[in-house]
Amino acid sequence: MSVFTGLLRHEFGMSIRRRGLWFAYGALFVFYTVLLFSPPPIGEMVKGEVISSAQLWPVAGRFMVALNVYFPVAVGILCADRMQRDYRLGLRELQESTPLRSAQYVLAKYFGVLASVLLPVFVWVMVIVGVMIGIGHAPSAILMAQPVAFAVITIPAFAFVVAFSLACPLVMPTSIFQILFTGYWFWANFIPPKLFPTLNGTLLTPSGVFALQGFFHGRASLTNKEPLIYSAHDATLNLAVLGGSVVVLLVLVERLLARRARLA
Amino acid sequence: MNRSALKYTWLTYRREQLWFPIAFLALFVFISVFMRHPAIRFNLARAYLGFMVPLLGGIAAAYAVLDDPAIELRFATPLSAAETLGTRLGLILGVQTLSALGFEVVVYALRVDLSPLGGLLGLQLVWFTPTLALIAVATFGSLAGAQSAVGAFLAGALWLVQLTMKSWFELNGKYVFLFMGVFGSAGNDLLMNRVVLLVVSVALLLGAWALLHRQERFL
Repeated sequence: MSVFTGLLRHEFGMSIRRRGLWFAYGALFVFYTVLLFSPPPIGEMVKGEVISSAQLWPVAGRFMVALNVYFPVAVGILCADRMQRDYRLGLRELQESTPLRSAQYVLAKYFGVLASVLLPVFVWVMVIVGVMIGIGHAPSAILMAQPVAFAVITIPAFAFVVAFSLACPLVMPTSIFQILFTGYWFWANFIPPKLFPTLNGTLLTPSGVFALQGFFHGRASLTNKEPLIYSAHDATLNLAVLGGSVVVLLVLVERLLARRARLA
Repeated sequence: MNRSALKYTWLTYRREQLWFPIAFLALFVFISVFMRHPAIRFNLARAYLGFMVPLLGGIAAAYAVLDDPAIELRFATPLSAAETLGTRLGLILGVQTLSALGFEVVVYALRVDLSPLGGLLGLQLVWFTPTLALIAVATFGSLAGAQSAVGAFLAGALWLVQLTMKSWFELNGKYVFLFMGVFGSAGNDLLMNRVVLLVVSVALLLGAWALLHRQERFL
């Protein structure tokens, strides 16, 4: 266990100290802060408007779905080199000569990276919520709704993306994964199924729209008046499918690393 | 740019920058051949030329300079920053140009009408302008951040932001909207858009050139 926690802490520390992460997150924090606090047409902050108690949960959910449009792209691109760098720097050879099991390595790497990309977003979200309460835009009850929305919308999307970002670059060049991933994120989350064949609308959709509709009875867009189509049951199934995909991917990564170690 | 510089570039060239655009081109040609509806074929052609070629060029450019295993050796040679940028980015732009022109020949043979995107020159600018802009952004981003991932993020995020916020950009940021020509706009706004994008691209490439002189940042 101490090996696992040591590796996890090390990976977390390495990942969160990267300049690239803070550059990308900084740009996105500024972008979303401007959108949240600017009046229309740039943003959606209407002067004097207060979020009602009835709208609290849908608003908290919509905020997290909005974050899932761009943050996972940054996460997917930035995390793509986390496994590769250990091979490139010769670190993996050293690790293989220790009693460290490949399953421990994969899990520690995965949770270390995941924590490092989630923590800054969570802190920023809570600061934004604090400011909204401070200026009287939201009631203090949002302090309870927002972490719940973060847990069922943001964490599953990031968990899904980080698993792919660790796994795929092991079998393809990093730059190709980044191109495919950026295209995939747009194709699988934002292209309407009526327009073009897409994974959007299936249980493999990681955008959080299932949880937003099923758990929070909210819509992704303020202008969208179409009836809600996903129930709480659909949202639970969506989370289960995303979780199952993560487990399958991590098992495949572990098997691949174990095979590489045997063949080395 | 002498022959040895080109030969070195070719020998150290990341081969995926060649085979991946070709594979993507083959995929779009394959789909276009099998999708017989003219509107679908036009949308596929527009998606490939207007969206995929710029994204491929942009993210490839993020890795063009810094992802060189012999970067220290390269910096020790008398190769100028302009030569480094010219050879690395020239190859990427060349591959994307050949892919786009090859695709245009195929869709022409399939009798797809691309006239809504403009005349012969206008059609080339539909993919060239956003491709050059994303290449410039990605190159400048990787050199400014001293990490290829920063450039790749900038190119990917800019591409996604502009696609998902199409209406907003058409209304509030039409001169910096990468895909204005792709969506069939015309007239003075489109001309101004292209001029602004080309000027910004050149400025970013000059910035990248200036950054590349400070070699100690990348070692």
